[in-house]
Amino acid sequence: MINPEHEQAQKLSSRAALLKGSNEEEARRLFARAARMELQALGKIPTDKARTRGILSVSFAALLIKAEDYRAARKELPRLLEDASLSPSSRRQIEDLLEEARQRDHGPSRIDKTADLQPSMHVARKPKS
Amino acid sequence: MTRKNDDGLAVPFKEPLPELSELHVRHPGLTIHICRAYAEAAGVCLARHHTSPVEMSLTGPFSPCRRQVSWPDPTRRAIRAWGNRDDATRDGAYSLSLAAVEAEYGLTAIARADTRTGADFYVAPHGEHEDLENAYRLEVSGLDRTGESRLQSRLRRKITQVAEGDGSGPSLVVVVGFSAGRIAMAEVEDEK
Repeated sequence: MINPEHEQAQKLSSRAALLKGSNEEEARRLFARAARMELQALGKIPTDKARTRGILSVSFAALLIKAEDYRAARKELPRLLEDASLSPSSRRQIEDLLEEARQRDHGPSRIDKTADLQPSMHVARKPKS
Repeated sequence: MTRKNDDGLAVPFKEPLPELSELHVRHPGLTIHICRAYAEAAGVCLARHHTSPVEMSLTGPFSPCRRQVSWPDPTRRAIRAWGNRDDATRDGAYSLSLAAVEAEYGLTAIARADTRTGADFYVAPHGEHEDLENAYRLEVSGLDRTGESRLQSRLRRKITQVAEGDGSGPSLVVVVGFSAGRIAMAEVEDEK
């Protein structure tokens, strides 16, 4: 297993996916919790594990969109894109998700629990040229 | 023990596919809830065309073979719950694909990572579960009603899509044809 945080994110996301269509509000809440756990999981992945970091970065971004937390996505996804080690595939997917968040963010966040997203962000910054 | 395939060629009859509802025991990337849901979807899709058990024909970068798969009769409630045919076909195909890669490659799901439209599974050999650096991404496609020609066409299209990707790493492409009782697999190395 990659780490316990990712395992917890998977469990929350799986539960949320099963609730889609029957209890949308609870599904969004679980997706938001899963996003927070995935971000913590990402923070524990060493910077030399580029592929793993890319996959978890996309997963975090997708979970924010599934939680319909577009405000948090607009705030957090640009930080993910500062990771110089992101593969083109991961970068493209995050850019697409950020664009979707920008298009959909017309009101207050539907999830009011994003304040704790920030502390565990550890991205490899682009080298200054 | 052998069986003849549709072309009249003898193919070996191997051990049955792993029990679909118990995959989570060996696949840490599956939760019990997701595993059981996928297995239920597979049962609903298979029961549209077959009676349990059925021998499925597997092809890929290995000798063609047949493996038996069994499932409980789906309840009316399960059939209603999986009334969305696209969702049932996709999730049922996940179940059979994970069982097939375990049986043929000894790979198990180590992670389920969300994407915009669903989730990707990553599979790796036992003992290589600490990160995703060398894991295969499992690219799954399901077809409810199909013949061999359409199944092969779908497989080629998925291989092309993956090969033309932009650095997402090595992948296993699996196409499940429920009516045909087929599982077609291919390995795709992403060299970018």
